[in-house]
Order: sequence, then C-alpha cells, then structure tokens
Amino acid sequence: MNLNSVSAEIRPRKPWEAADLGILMARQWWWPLTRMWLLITLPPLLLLHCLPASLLWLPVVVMWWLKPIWERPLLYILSQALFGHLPDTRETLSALPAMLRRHWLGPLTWLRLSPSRSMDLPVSQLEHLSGAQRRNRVVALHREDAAPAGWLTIIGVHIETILLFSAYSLIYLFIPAELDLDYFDLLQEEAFWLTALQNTLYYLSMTLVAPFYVACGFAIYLNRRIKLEGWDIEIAFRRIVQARNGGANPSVDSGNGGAAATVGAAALCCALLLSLLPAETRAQADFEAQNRAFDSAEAQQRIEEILAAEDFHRRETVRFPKLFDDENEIDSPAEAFPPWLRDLLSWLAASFEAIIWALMLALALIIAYRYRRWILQLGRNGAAAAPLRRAPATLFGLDVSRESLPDDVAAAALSLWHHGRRREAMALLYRAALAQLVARGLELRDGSTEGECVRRVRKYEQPDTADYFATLTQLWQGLAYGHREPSEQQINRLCQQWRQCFGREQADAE
Amino acid sequence: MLSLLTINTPLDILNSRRRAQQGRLGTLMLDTLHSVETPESVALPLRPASVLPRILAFSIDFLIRSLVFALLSVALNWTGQMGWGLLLIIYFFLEWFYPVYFEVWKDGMTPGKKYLGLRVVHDDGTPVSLSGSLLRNLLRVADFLPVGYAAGVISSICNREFKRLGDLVAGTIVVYESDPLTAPQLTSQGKKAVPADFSTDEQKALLAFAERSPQLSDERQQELARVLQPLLNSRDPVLTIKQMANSLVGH
Repeated sequence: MNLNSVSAEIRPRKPWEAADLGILMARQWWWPLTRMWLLITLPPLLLLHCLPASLLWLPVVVMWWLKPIWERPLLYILSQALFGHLPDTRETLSALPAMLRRHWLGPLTWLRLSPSRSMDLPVSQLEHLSGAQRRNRVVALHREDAAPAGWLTIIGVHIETILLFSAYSLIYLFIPAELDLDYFDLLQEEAFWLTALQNTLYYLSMTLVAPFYVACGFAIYLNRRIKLEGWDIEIAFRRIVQARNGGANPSVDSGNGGAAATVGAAALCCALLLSLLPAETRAQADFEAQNRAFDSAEAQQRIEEILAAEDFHRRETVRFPKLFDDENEIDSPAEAFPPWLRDLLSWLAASFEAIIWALMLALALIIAYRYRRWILQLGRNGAAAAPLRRAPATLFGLDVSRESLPDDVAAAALSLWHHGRRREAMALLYRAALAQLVARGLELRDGSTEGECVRRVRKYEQPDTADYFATLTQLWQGLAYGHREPSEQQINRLCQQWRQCFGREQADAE
Repeated sequence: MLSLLTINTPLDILNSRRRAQQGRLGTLMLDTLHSVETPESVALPLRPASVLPRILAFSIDFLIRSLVFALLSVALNWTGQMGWGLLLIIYFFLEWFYPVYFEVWKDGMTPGKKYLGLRVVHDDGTPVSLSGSLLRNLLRVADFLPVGYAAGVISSICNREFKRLGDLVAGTIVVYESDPLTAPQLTSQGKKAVPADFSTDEQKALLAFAERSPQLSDERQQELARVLQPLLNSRDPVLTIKQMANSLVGH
C-alpha cells in the first residue's frame, strides 16, 4: 500500500460523504468495471438460458444469488485503481481464481442477506482475514459510521427495482398505440421471448447498479480505515519530511492500459433477445386473423349489431348541482367502527362542517362589510353616494353646529366687537362660516387644520367665497395665535361680506 | 477575511487544493468537494450530497406528508363532498409547496434533509431563493420519469455535483451541513516549540495527529510519529508531536 500514489483525496469524511466518494470512483472507472462485470456474468447468464422454458425463472435467481461472487473482481479493480494502478482485463482474470477460492461459503449462505455485505467484502478479500479474525475485524469496523452500509443495500435494491420498472414503462411507452396488444393475455403467457426479456432487463439494471454498489461499500470501508489509521496524517507527515529533504514527489505510472473491447458479444446478445419481440407478435396477429372468417350474411348482421351498439351512439350525461339533498344519501363506510366511535366521529364531522360553514359565512359578511359602500352604490344604480358620514359637530375644538349660532351672525359679531370682546367676535365669525360650509355639504374632518380647510374650500366653493374664507382664516389665525387684532375697518368689511357669502342661506335655514 | 478563512479551513481541504494543482495521473484527484470562488478570491469548499442520503431524506419527507394527509383525510372524510374538495386542495399544496416552504423559509432544509444534515443552496453557496426553489421542485415531474425518480437518479450520477434535473435547471445544489468547529481536546502534558519553518498546513498536521490520537492504536501512533523522526530527533516522537500541538493550541 503506497499512499503516495493514491488517486482519490484521502481525508476523514462524514459517513454519507464517504459513500459519495464511492459514486465518484465508480464514475471514474465505470467502463473498466462494467466491462469486467459483463465479461464474467454474461457467459453464465447465456448458459442458463439453455434451460427448458419451465425453468427460465432460474437464471435471475442464480444471478442474484451469486452477486457476492460477481462483485469480487470489481472490488479488485477498484482497490488497485485507487492506488494508482488500473489493472487490465488479463491481470484481473488471472487474479480471479485466488479471489473466488477464499471465503465463499459464508457469503453465499448465511451471510447472503447481510445488509452490510459491500462494506465487509474488503475485509475478507483485501485483508485476507477469515473465521473469528474476520468477525472481530468486522465488528471493529462497524463500531462507527457503518449505518450507510446497511442503507446502501436497501437503497440499491430499490434503485434496481425502479430501473427495472422504468425500462418496462419505457418499452410500453414506445409501443405504438395502433398495435392494440392485449397486455393482460401477454403477461399470462409463458413465452420464451417474454421471460428472456424480463431476465435481460433485470440483468441490465443489475449491471448498472453493481459498480456503484461495490464502490460505495469500498469507500465506506476506506473512510473507516482512514479514520482508524490516520492515512491523511501519514500523507501530511511524509510531505513535511519530503519538503525538508528537497525531494520531489516520486511520480507514479498510471496503469491506464489499453482498453480492449470485449463486450461485442454482450451487445450482440441483448440485440438478439430484444429482436425476438416483434417476430412473436406478428405471428400471433396472423393466427387471430385466420380465425375471423365470416360469410356475408353473418357479416351484415354483425355490422348492424355494431352500429346499434353504444359505440355508434352519442350519449350525453348532463349533471346539475343538487343543493341541500346530499345529507339524504349518506352511505356509510363506517360499519367496521364501534357505534360509539362512529357517533363521536360523525359528531366531530358535523361540528367540523358547521365550523367550515360558519367560517364561510363570516368571510362573506366581512367582505360585504369591507365593500359596503361599493355595494350600496351598486344598489342605487350608480347615483352619487349620499354623504354617509355625519357632519362633524366640532372643528379644532370649535362648536360648528348650527344650533349654537345666533340668528344674525354678522350683527352679533359686530356688537361683540364694539363691546370689546374682539376675540369672541372673530371666533363667532369664523365658527359660523365653518358651520355654513359644513351645512352646504363640504366634507371637513375633525382633524383637519385651518390650512386644509382653506384648500378644500378653494377646491369646491365659488372663488369669492373662497377668497373671503381665506382672508377670514388669516385674520382669525393672526388673532388666535399671534394676538394681532384686526383693524376696525377690516372687521366691518368682514361682517358685511359674511352676509353676502353666507347670510342668505342662514335666512333660508330659519 | 482572507487570513480568517485560511485558518478555519481544515487541513485536508488545503491539501486537496494543492494536490489537485499537482495533477497526478494526468487528472484531478477524486474528491467530494465543489469549490466556489468568492469575489475576494477565497475558495469556499461546498460538499455536495449524492443521491444516497437524499433518497433517505425524501423518504422521511414522504412519510411526514403521508401522515399529515392520512390524518386529514380521516378528519375530512365525514364532511361529505366539501371535505373531499378541501382534501384535494390540501393534497395539492402539500405535494407541491411542502419542499418550497421549508427550503425558502427554513434555511433550505426540509425535516428529512435536516435529519440527514443536508441543505439546499444556490451553486455559489448562497441561500436558495423562492424562484430557485419553485423551479427545482416543479421539475420533480421531469425527475420522476418514467417511474420513481429514475431520471433524477441517473442525472445525479452523471455529474460531479450530484445534481438532478431540477437542480441543473434551477442552479441549485444539495450540500452537507458543516459541523460546528470545536476546540481541540488534547490530553498530554508539557509543551515543546514547533520548528520555525513549519507552515500553517504542516502545523495543522501536527495538531490533527494529537487530536485524533485517541482513535489511533499505540502502534499506529508510533508508526506515524516515526515518519517525522528525522526532523524531531527525540527519544519519544509521539510525545514530542503531542507537546508541539499543545504549544500550538496554547495549553
């Protein structure tokens, strides 16, 4: 074992990561591995197909049973290639007898169903251990990180099955629909070609999975040894010494020998098995055609029968929703349950249904409430919506309801002014103006500022009213916040104009 | 940034990078790493997960989904036709958005992936986005063909990052979570200075020896330490290396 020439990265990995390295190894040396597999498994498979037709289930069983044997040359190739020397076919074949002689009884009998077979094989094959020694070694290796080995076998079985069924369904998909095969009868029949096809497909999926299975098991075993023996530490230490000695890494010859094509026979054989399918089918079709000879009268009768039958008539099923009648047609699949459980469950079901209906109802109500304006407007046929909000009774803390105002606002304000209650006079004017605007339908919110009111008035009222309101607001703000009193002249004009702008309406309202 | 990452990178990954550059056997060394280079030209090693643990993670998720569906169908079976309708809608969402929800909002890990320590990320190692996750999960239809994810299995074996078709299209990758780094547990006493010409990698090798010595047999420790003996020239090379490691850690 020369760690210098190793061709995969040596480092301690997590258990599943180790198995992943196996997949990479099988990818790297896929063809040498598959070539060797075909070379040693195809001859026995073909030989077994010489058995009488009633025994044709046997090849698959034998091939499956002998898997531990077939896997040995693959492990040999992997173990050599990992250390930088890819053995060619002749080398592997000459090493084969020694591999097969060692430790074959256990793996083929009581160890055949051991799920960790792939991880244990290197112990007997590469470490040459047997008996109690082998058992102890296996136990030691299984102490940690061995869970993937078992799962690997389970997953492998499933992938094999999935590939097999994928092949079946691919074949089915590629048979033209016009062929009109009766698949049920076909599968009942024990034709040689059918059994041979099944065997071939199973063998092919086995061929695809085997290199990966062996390599993953080997990689799990390898990871365990890397951890137990510190291979990566050894590599690092050797490199430290080499760097100090000024020695370059010794280059290793890759044993990537010429790959001789040895599977021509294998490919040919598959083609043979597959080509049997169309021939058989054709013969069957001819046979059926001969049986269907009618005379003309009988034929006429048959034609009428057929034309009268359902295939030549149009039949429509029209379904209408039948509301609220479903409760009557409860068919109970619940006979198996005890009555109390049935009662409980149906009570649960009924309440569940009630809850769902209640939720639906609540949802409908929420939606209706959310879009109530839109719905109301819809009811009035698009007429302008009436002001739904009530006019506010106060604005910025001022009472703007009409009831609080005197009959002649302008006169009242003037008299207040002359009595020296100037602030109250201005407040009255402003308050009354707002009250009138609100009464006219101008939408003002309680939270609006004076400036916002002016802007809204400008938007919706006559220009002279808006101008007046702007002036009034400005003077009112000056007095209220800045304590700047308006002049006598200004107040007179304000009162006068108030009558022009709002006085008429106030008179109407009386 | 650079120095920080270099210190945190395990010994083996640094080794792998250098050995890959050496190009033995005319090809790269086989390794289960997918290196992503950041704009700061720091190599971030991602460790792609193969189809094997992912099949197990899928099985766990499938079991969870089936359980939820079975419970719901028992509950809804008694509500008649409407229950059936609801059940079918729930089935649709469970089937298509269960992985998307966990991948986007739960750190790229469905419960099954979490159990096996797997995570879905973009090719550059960033968390998977909603569109990426939707794409890779909608393409399960393609991966499923013709039966039981056969296309996905074959596709994931055919590339080095173990991507199924959905991963190839969405530019995502399933990686192993890295274990949190722990402080080294060293048992031996005493300190000894490390020779000044030891590089960071070489110091890490000394540390790895001391850290993993509990798993190594005494004979193997002797054997390994003897490799360094020409440089150490001590009577007990094992102890010497361990004491050097102590001084590196600062015990």
